[in-house]
Amino acid sequence: MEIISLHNVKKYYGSKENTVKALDGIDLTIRQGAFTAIVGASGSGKTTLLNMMGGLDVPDTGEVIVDGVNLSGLKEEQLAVFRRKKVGFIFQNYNLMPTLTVEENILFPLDLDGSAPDEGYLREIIELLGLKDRLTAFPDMLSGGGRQRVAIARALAAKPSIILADEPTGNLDSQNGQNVAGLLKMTTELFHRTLVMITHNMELAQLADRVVRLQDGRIV
Amino acid sequence: MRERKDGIIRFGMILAGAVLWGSFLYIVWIWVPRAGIRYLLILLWAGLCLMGLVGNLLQRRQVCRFADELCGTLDELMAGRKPERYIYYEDTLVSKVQGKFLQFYDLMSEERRLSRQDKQVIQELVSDISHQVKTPIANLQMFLGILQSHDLSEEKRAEFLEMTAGQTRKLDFLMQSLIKMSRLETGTFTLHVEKTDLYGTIAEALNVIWAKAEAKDIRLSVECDSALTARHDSKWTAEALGNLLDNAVKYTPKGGSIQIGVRPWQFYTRVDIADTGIGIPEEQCHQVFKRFWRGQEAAAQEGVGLGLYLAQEIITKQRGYISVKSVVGEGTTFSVYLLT
Repeated sequence: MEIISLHNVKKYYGSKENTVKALDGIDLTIRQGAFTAIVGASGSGKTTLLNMMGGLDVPDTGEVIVDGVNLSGLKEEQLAVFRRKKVGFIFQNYNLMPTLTVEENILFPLDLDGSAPDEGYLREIIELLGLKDRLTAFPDMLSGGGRQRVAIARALAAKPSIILADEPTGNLDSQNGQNVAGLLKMTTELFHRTLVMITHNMELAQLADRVVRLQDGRIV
Repeated sequence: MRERKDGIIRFGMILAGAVLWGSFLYIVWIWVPRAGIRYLLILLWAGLCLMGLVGNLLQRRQVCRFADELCGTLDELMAGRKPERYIYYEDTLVSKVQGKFLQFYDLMSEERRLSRQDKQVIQELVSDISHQVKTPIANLQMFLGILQSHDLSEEKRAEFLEMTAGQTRKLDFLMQSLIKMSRLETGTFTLHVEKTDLYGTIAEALNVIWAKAEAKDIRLSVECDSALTARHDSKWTAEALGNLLDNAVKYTPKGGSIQIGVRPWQFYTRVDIADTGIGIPEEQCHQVFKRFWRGQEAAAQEGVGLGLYLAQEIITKQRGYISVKSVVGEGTTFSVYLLT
């Protein structure tokens, strides 16, 4: 069963002779529960593609269908609810709230949605990600790897069906990168989430069920 | 019981309303001497009561509509289709509850899907097993037929017997692998993951390939602190590492070397098995773990294409993972990550 499908998605920036083709006719389907890695040089359109899947960006032409809903048919407020319920984001620079503790950061998406936390589930995630002793710490007291683990927990907290990770290991050394990528794979598999991860690192891309290569806005 | 209670409450409310109205009229009659003000007050009071009544009715209608919407959603879900009228991703109460229903529905379908998938895996397994076993059995039958029906010289006879023995060994090896595989796949076997020392596990894995490496003049070196521990099932992990080592020995030419290194990290303990073998082309690195997959370069070596697959299954079941780095012609490094 496919959870994400893109049909002939195009996104151009600039105009006339200065046109940059960020995405140039992408056709892609992603199976529910699969781990897909997106690789490609910088500027090949990886992030634009990921943003399309998460409803952070809209295509010029073509359609993006996530869990049966065409995202271009949604209004801005509906997109916000969609992102809150369906998608968990993980960024290269963590994007944690510096004024909130680790625990508050993890619970943040649930607060936004006004839904009650599933205690058992959260405890399991926190334990798996080794954050049990750091719950009252603030993000800047943690290492890069630690912060990214908090971001993983936060992405999983609201039980979204899809986790989108944009170079989650980009700011980490290879050892922490392996740790974080391994944990990300393990937790998403354990809870049957669909994971799409952008990476530069071919060794990490191997962990995926499928590797999608982008070049100049096209899948090669 | 509940309904009777509701009835009593309703009766009480009507009674209280009548008493309130009565006392209000009485007070107004006694304490407000001017008739105009008196009627105005009564009118205001009546207006207030009317508003309350209308508000109540409106709310009741809203609740009814809410219930209707939800019942509609449930009906559609029970019929096995996603509701058409579902207002996707609105910030309303109906949408919120519907969203939860849908989440629940998705969860159930996911479970159904998983159990269907399990069934399919078993079916594929059965067909794979029967397919793989066919060839050696056919060979055995042929050799036995020749041995039975032909008058052979002692020399030829010994040769055929040796071939029969070879096929039996292959069959045995195949069956062993298949049994392990099916036990892992069908979950009839549980791994006993516990924090134990890694050194013993690696030593056990090395036992299997020691002789083979020696025969090929391959140097083995191990770099592992004997105090290191990782969360793993010693027996099965030894099997997985053994498979990786066996592979390394197979694809490393005479006089090469195999290095085993262990690095304890914060979350994972990394076991590297680096050989100086023929290497794996980058585009195949992803495929080597597939069941019955064999590279073109591997055709010269005997094997059935189960070793790496089994290794990955075993490691993944323990929540670890395997990655591979390789340069064709220089060597391959398999890295096994076990939870620390």
